Amino acid sequence: MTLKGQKRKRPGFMTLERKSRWFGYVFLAPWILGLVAFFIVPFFKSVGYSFQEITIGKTGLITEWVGLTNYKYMLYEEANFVRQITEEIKGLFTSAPIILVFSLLISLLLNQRFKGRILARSLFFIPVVVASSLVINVIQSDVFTNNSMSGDEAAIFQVGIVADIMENMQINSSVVNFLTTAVSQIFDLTWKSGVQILLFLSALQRIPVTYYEVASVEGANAWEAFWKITFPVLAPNCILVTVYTIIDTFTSSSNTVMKSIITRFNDMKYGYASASAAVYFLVILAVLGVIMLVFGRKVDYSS
Amino acid sequence: MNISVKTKQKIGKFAFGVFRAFFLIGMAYVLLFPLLVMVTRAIRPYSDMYNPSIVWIPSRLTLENFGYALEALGGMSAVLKTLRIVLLSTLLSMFTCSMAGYGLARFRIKLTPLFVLLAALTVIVPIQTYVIPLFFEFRFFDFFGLGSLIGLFTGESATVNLTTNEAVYYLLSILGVSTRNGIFILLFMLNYKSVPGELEMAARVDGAGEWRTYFQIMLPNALPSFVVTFVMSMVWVWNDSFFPSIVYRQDFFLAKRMLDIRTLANNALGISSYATNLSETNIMFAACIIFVLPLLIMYMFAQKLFIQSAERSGITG
Repeated sequence: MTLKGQKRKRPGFMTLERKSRWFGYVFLAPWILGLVAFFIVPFFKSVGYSFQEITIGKTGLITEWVGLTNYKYMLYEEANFVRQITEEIKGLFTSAPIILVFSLLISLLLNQRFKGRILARSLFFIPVVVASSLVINVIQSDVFTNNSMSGDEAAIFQVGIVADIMENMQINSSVVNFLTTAVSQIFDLTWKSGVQILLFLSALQRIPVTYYEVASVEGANAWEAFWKITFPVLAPNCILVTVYTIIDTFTSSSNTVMKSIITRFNDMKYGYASASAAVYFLVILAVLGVIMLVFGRKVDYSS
Repeated sequence: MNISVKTKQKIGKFAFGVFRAFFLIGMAYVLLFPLLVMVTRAIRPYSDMYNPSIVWIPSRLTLENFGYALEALGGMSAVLKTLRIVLLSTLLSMFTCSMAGYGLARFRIKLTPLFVLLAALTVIVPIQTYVIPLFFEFRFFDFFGLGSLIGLFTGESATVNLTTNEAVYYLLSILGVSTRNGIFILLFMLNYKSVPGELEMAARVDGAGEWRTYFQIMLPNALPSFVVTFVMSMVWVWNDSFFPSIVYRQDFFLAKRMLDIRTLANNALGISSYATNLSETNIMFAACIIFVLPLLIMYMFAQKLFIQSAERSGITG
């Protein structure tokens, strides 16, 4: 009986695997269709559009080849676009590190055992649910730009005095700027770091408790345990969190570059809008590439 | 000696606990500050706005702001319609992303690495870069070439304008390319990969076919991914104002209305701003509350499951 079974097993296994491979595509089919029709094809079409002048006809598009005109206009004649992009990148370089450190700190605290931990966690994930830039925009349009603000509400965001003191102490003005933006944007940043906290926390949960027990038996203190155990595990997540932050910042509806692309689209300058979108994508890709290069190497060292 | 070390540790622990409590409470205040501002602004009358003695607690409660806010957002029907679109497309996304994740995790397909890369790319490439062809795809939707095929015979290709139809949401969701669906596919993939192979083998030996193995054995194991996908997809589709302002050209979608809520609040208030003693700022805050309320209610029900699931599902690279 076993012999019989073994004899049959081989061809049976093969067909099962072949069948199984075929069935894999059945599971993937809807997504592959969507991927090709609504991602890959539009993406390459978009690149093509950026070299064209486009108007809407009755049954389709009327296109006219214009070469690099759209790009030239964007880079040389309309000065805004390049400036907007550089400002967005500058903003990212101040906000991304703060979000990274902040979410790391909060997730480390939330990972500990203490009373009210469940409550604290559900509080810190509220931003994941309600933090849309739409709501943040409304709040900021009132609290920060409208001078009708009265009373003490704004006091927790007033950093002018501290900045003055620091300047008197002759601390480098770029450091002061960094700190004041960090503090004045604090609720903006906390609201943007919900998913990042989640990412760190899920990684922390997977470190076996036994590691720390061994470390404490060996006589390591909490500080050493963090750098020797926790940090190496979290290092790959740092990249993930940074990449997520970058994508989130670059695609949020409060982003000025995004706003200008929408404006161009609404003005029916489709070719021009495609060209700006293409440039924008290249910039994002470049930023992501730099991040990967810089951090990717560091992670290799630690692991 | 031994005792003194212990007490030292205890004191250190206590001090750290106090520090942690202060820090977390402070952070929680910063986190909740916007919500508190929203609530206190939404329930106060206009006269309180310029009264410096009133910071948090208004002189009298008023719910009038909410009435105007609802009007500015397009009424209850707009809220319900948006909710329907978001909920349905979330459910469809869950269905497809789970299937695709399973396909990537449990089958030996040669192209799997390529598909994983593409799934990551759908998240990394912002929709802004390809939204314009996407818009035209839906403006003259020809059912994946079928319409053009018919056109060969009739002379004029059969196209449908989907940009005013909510079917565009459902189409993208059932095909797994809706807002950030790539993340969910990778999430499901990691989840299905962690299911032990013995379980699948046992099902196969018992004679379960592919579909039965998937629905009866695998699906229950992916509960954490389903919960995370449900919550995050609801949040992302609900808050996405870009897609409805470019592709889906209907005005009732709430996220789109929130984009120019100030104008809408002004319009809703109209001439009556003098008569009713209300301000558009308060109405805007009331609108914010109405806007986040459905998600908050959903979160209240799902939060325990969501937090546990999010921690277990292993959303890592």
